[in-house]
Amino acid sequence: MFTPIIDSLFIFSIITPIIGFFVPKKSSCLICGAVSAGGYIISIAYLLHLLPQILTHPIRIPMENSAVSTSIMIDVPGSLMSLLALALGLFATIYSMRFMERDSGTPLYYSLLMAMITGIVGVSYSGDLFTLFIFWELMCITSYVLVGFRKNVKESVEAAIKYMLMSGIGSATILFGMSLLYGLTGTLNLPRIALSLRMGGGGPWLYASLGMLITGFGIKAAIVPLHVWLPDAHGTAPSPISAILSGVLIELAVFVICKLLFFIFPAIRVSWMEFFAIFAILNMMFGNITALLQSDVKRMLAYSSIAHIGYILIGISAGTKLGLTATLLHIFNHGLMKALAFLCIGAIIYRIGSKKLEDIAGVGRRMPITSTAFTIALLGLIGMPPLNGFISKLLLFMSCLDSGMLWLGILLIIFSAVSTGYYIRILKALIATPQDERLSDVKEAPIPILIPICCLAFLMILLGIWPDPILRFAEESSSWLMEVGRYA
Amino acid sequence: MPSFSAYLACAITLYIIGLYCLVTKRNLIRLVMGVEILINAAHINFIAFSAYWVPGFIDPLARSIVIVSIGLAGCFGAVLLSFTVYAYRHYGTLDVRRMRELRG
Repeated sequence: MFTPIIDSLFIFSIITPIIGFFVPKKSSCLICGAVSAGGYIISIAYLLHLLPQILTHPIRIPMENSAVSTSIMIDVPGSLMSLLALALGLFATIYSMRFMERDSGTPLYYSLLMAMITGIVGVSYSGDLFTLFIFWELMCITSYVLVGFRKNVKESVEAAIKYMLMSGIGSATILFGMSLLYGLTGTLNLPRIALSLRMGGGGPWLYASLGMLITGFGIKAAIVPLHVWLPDAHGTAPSPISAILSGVLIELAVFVICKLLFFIFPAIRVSWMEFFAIFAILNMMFGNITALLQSDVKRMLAYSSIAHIGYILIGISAGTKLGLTATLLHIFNHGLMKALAFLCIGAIIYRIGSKKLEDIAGVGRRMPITSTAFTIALLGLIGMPPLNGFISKLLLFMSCLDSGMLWLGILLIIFSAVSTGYYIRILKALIATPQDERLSDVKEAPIPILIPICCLAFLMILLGIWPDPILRFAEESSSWLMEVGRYA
Repeated sequence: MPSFSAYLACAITLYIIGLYCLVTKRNLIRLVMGVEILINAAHINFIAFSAYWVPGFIDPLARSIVIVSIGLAGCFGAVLLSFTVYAYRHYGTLDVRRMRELRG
């Protein structure tokens, strides 16, 4: 149909609930989880098999030019995003095999999760705006259902409604912006739009279209005046879903903004640098300062995602190749770090049943592996040297110096220091002495929950000590995004 | 037949009406309608542009994106209305300003 990477996800997302219908209800969570994990593994294996070929020239499907010129373009920047999405999807699926065992309807849960990952992979590979919009809506609609999956809980229904209303406005705005762009150029194919805009100037309608597209994707990326849905949705969703929402979905919106800016609109580059610098500062300031006031750990991590979107925007505002590399690298690293943090707090919720900071005090003695991994995730989010968060923050700082915005780099360091305040509060709660007997019968999390946690912690340390492969991948991606001519 | 800019003006007016509805109304079902109006504004724009480029020829790309998007808007409406039912069961009202469990 499209490409085996997307097809296997589609097929497995259809057969998972069918298998779940036939197996006994008691074991359906485990069996369906194992089946859908198979789909992710096939998809990752095929992507890794294609990777050497993609690095030299992108694969376009369909090969010939069809009447409506829609296409899927398997290229290097898309592979970076979809590798992250597929890996986190696999980890979240393995994790959910025990985490979701008390919920009903788990076969549909795996199916929706898989459809959401399909949407993310499709958006990162889409070669035209039509395909992008369809996969975008696939991802959005499944994510609404997943946020409100525990429909008997008051908070999760409320969070889902807030999320849907904001995100629905975003989708409509994206569609309106696309229609204006279509009216200006007569096509929706990305390289053709780029070529057509390079020939003739823009005018006010081009700016209106760009503004609508950035507003629409900015709602999903939680750029500050448009962020109100994020703490609710990420704070109340089931933990593996929060991990994917915070780790991939909001970064995907930033990735699409990067693709639009560097791919379609390089002609008006001068005007966006200060614009994004302002929003980067707003995001860092608001996210970090509000997170200091929280007592709910998941909400705190959600606000820290807003702050990290600010760090990611710094790379875009630098506007150079180094800045784009730093942005893509931080997208990848933040995905790993934030997913690990959400999975660890999920394991603690699984055992204790609370996400309040005072309730988890002293849990480190009872759950040593989870707490060690949580500590690694938090140190990575701060940007401590041996971990992968340090590499990307260093690159972001260097890109600021490179484009003559030293003040932005200094603000990055200051707000990183501010953010240490709330990460240390979580660390302090983990290593505190247990106050009462309430935690005395708490055990370490079960094996299916520990496997993804240990894998992610290992990846974080590995990419911190040896960042070469992922750094080269990000560099190659940014050079593809900067030079449209390579796609011709 | 009205001119091309009349269609564009109509689409922009619909977009503003949709935003006005979303900002001022409190009933959840009216908010669903507001989002649908926003999406339909973009559809009108696409259909108007599809006949604009070459006179007498209608671009199939814009038609197909509108048909697919109508289906997606239907999915969106269905999911949002089903959550509206659950919200009514939990809160006993459809007023969005009463839904204030999550704060901070």
